[in-house]
Amino acid sequence: MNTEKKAGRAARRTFRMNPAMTAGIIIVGILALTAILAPVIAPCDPYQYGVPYEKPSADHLLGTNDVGQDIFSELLYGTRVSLLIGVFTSLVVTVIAASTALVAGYYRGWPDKLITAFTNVMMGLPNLALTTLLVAYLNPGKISIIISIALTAWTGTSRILRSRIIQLCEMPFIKIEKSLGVSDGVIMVKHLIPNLRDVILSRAALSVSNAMLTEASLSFLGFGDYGEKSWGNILHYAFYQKGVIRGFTWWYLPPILCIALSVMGFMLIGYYGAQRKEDGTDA
Amino acid sequence: MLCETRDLTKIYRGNHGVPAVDRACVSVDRAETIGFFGESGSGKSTLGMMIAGLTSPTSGQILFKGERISMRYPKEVRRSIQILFQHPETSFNPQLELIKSLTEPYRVYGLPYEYSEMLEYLSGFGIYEEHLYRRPSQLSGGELQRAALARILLVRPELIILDEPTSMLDVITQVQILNILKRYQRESDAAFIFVSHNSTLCRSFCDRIYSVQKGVFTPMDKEE
Repeated sequence: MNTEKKAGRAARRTFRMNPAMTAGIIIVGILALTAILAPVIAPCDPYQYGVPYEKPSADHLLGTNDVGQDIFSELLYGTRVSLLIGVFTSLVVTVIAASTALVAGYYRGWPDKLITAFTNVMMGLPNLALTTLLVAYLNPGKISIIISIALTAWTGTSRILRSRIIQLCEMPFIKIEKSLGVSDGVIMVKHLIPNLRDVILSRAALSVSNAMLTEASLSFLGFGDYGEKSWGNILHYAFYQKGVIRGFTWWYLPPILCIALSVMGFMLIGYYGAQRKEDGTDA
Repeated sequence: MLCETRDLTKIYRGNHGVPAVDRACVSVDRAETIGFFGESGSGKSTLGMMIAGLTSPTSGQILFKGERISMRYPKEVRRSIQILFQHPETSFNPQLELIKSLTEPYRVYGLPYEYSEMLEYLSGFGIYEEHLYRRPSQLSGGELQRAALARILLVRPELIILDEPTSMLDVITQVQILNILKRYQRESDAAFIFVSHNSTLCRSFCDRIYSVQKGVFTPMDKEE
């Protein structure tokens, strides 16, 4: 009970201190709920064909597309794919970035030189072009999109984590652990990672927004998962079926707004985390 | 001789070849306390860190019980040489409760662990049960330094590098820490390397003193 009260107080204090963070959490919360409840709240089956190019009405809140599918239902289902790809890509990015940063920052020497050189090369490559190439090579699909985005998006997080690990390794408590004979693995898992928690979480949130944006770009370019509804896919068809030229704003504007809003939501959380770390206001 | 260094040199990268420690030849015997006395940045802590195996030397040798030791210390040597730092507030993982850090040596060296016995042991350092479930940020500098000392003495080291361990503490805690160290030395014949820029403390606590200037270690008369 006492712990619950404390947690509640801490949450209230966080919200009071940072309205941007609150906004981010609310946006992401709504997105997550929408993704989970999409089959319940969607008024129509998004894959069902009907009368094409209908304007918004009581039956179809955002009208229908070129094959008569309900755009509002497509949008709700699209949340699932965008969020799923965003979150899983972020997980893969975090694992790759944390592993490379730990090896480079903790051991230094040649592993550091090798990883840093590889990171620099990867950072120099144009991300979207490389991701598109990888997706095309691996055949479009959710897993290939996740792998392709993750393989090109880990570098920034890895670089930030590496520099933080180097700082931490200079701290007496890490030196004492080494001096006490604690194994490298235990030092990394028990002492380094918990002290990187805030950086990891803020970078993970930023990775989600980056992945969602890249997924939308890939889908728009026609490299998305054809079997699934996603915001990028809706945009792709709106553009290629001349919805944009004809001025069907109800078709192309909602996915743009959804992408922008969700990217903003995750970025607000990510930047808040980074700012909190810089201010030293974390517990 | 318990530990000695032969022409131990450390040149940090980016320091234009200027050695932080320049061909240091120091030695310490059992039950002896030697002091490294010098200004900040003179290289005294760097030598301490090299002896503790936490910084790799550029050249030279470290001998422990007559045997040359390389950078990756074997477990027994690692256990025998411990270090106590200046800033107690950074000597513990800030994310962990004190008890988790204090029980680490039991796990690493498979020491017999009994909670009540550990409490009794810690009470000798002025650390009690109420301190154990707090994070470092909730403890005072004195409490943390006593806890840090308790943790390293758990493994019964033969050589302890004391890197200005009392400079951030009040006089009462300073005396407590030094008394605990002296008692441990009497019981175990451990050797201490005392790193300090406080000449009075160095003279009163150490048997021999090395003066450190720009990385050069020179034996000096205690009465100088």
